[in-house]
Amino acid sequence: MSKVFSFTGSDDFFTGRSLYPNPKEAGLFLSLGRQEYGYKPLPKRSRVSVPFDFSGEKWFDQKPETTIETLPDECLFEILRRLPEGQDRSLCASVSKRWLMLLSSICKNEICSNASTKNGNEDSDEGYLSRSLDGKKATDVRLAAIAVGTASRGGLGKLSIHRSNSDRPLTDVGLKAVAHGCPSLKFLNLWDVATITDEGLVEIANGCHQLEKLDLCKLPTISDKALIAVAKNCPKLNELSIESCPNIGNEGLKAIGKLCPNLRSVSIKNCPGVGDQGIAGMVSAASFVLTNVTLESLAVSDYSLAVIGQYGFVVTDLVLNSLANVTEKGFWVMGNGRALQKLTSLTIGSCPGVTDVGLEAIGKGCPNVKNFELHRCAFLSDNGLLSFTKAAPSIKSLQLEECHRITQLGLVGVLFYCSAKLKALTLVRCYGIKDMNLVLPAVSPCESVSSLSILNCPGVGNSTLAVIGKLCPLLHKLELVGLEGVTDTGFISLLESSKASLFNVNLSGCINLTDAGVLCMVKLHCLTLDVLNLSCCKKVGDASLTAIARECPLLSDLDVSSCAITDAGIRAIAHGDQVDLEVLCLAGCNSVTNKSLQALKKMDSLQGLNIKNCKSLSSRTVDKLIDHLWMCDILF
Amino acid sequence: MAQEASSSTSSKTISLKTGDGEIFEIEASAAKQMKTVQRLIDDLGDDITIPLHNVFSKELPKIIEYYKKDITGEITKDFEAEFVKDLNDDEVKVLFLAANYLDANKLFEFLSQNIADRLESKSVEYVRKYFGVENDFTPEEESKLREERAWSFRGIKEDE
Repeated sequence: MSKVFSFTGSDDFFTGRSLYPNPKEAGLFLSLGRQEYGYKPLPKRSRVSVPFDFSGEKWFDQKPETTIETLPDECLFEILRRLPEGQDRSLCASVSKRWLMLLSSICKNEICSNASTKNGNEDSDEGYLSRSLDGKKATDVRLAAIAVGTASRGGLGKLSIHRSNSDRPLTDVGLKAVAHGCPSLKFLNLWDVATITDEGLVEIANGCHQLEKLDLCKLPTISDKALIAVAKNCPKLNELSIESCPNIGNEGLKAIGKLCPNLRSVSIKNCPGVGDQGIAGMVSAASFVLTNVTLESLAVSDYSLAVIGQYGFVVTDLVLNSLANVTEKGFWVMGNGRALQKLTSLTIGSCPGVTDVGLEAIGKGCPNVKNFELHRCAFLSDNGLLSFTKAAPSIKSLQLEECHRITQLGLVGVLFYCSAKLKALTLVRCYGIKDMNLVLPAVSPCESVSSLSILNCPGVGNSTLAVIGKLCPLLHKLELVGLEGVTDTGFISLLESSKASLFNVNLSGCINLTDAGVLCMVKLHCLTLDVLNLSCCKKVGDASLTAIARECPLLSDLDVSSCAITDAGIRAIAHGDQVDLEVLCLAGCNSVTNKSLQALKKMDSLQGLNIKNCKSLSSRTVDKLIDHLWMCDILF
Repeated sequence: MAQEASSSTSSKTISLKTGDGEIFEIEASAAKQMKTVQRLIDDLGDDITIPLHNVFSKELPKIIEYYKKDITGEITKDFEAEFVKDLNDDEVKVLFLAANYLDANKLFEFLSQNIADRLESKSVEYVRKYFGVENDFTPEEESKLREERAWSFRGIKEDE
């Protein structure tokens, strides 16, 4: 034996030898895990003999402050996992980074506290808490602290991480800490974190089986592997949103569709790896639960739409944006699939495949659509709009934005042929709608439309308004925004045709309207006017305000920003016995001076007052106002 | 190496030599519980004195006492309470390290639970001092941690 171990020639057996002559240095050599980040805990349960040599009493004489610091991880782990939940654990988390990371790596089922738990109740981890980390604050250490800290105080339910610290980037270690310590996590939102990988998400999937909502955005390193793990381990997943993740593809989505029985809402945007296989696979597998589907900027083709049309039995909300590869056939097949009977809300934008034929098929095939929005559709013509209107019996609210082929004829057609259910019509930036000299046959007007909004359609002028007036006599809400071609004549003709009472009127940006138009409106609708917006109507002035003050008892919200009003107008409003304004906006009214202070002070019913950019109001006046109208929210 | 034919009775004793040169005797069955010792016995044979460099004469008797009770199956809650009653925190620390070195599972688990219990309601500073740990958090990290456990500052015992 001594031949083999012949250091000293004696029979003593050295189990190990200190490499350093000075025992204290051995301590330094062994201080494990003091790295700043990227901490990798040693595997547990492998208790290795401490390989240094305590050479006798001399060691203890030298005051070894570092003795138990050099306790190997697995020993410290055994102590830490026996700590009862609650303040002791959180306390130990604050001792040092190594302790924090060790504590955070303890899984819930490895904790054993044979001491009776102080709170006793098992469901103390309902996931009441929510945390949000942004940029600089998003580090592994912070996540570990959250994981340990929230564990015994109701559990972490919602976690949002946006970007990560550039010096100490967020890595899988932080996610693992969350996975181990927060089994009650329900909502996870990860946004623009390039330093995590699939491994971290897989850990979360393995640890957080209560996950219900997952939101992934701008994660270049996440791939199908993570999604498949989520699909396998999170049966409660009901909402999934993926945006700009280039490595996520069809396999992940197929797995989610197949394995998540509660998948209600899906939103996939701008993922170049996702194609027909993924979308079709997911929709067909989840066809009895999926209610909300949003597809945007994807390379899907007609096939996906066909599958939606055939399997979307319970889809209620469908949004299709920027699907460049979908043609007219796709929309036609979707409409003819006949499965979309429960569809109530449909939005289509920037899809070159939307043509007259396609839209008509949709109108026929989705008979229960109530809210329909069409954006940036270059091909829809008046005829197509008409056929759609005739074919879609349930439409309550119709919005057309940037559909430039639609003309006044189309507008008239909609109002004439719509079902009795159409209540709201909105047109935004439709440059094709221009004044025409239409001679309308005697048609019965549309009695159902009660809300009409025409925003920034530069071609709309007085004759269009006259036509609208005849066709929509029962308006309650009227919005004519940014219509520079409209003058008092057209406005008054619309007003005179209206038989019902206007509650809500928005004329902002109609720069050619003057007091005459407003006065007419006040005369006809004073008793019902509740909300009035005249911002940027530069020709409207004090006369209107005086009339309003005198006649409109129900008016609660008045916006006269950038109008030609002066102190006289303010005085009129303040002194009007009838009016009890709650919200008043005077932004940019440079003719309102400090003399209005007294008048404004009188308006005790005000809850919101906007006096931004009122150049003639001094800061002293503003201060006095703030003091006096202390119940009111003042923007200045 | 030929093993000397010793009287192979069931209660064979093994000699252990501590780091400071003292020799103690334990039963072979007790030695089995200390895996490190058992490994050394397997390598070196059971009739030479097993050297234990990292265990000292202060702790070894306590450990032997524990395992004497263990083989007879007499470890009870009362015995365990008695066992640690007179030990101060530092002595428990040393025993714990020794148990780890000896790979003595039962004692190790018992002591780790005991240390965990001793840490109850102590302050962060005390824990750092006890374990000789340096605080390596940045001030902002520390303040965030404090926020997370704001409530746990109450109910701290005076440092012993």
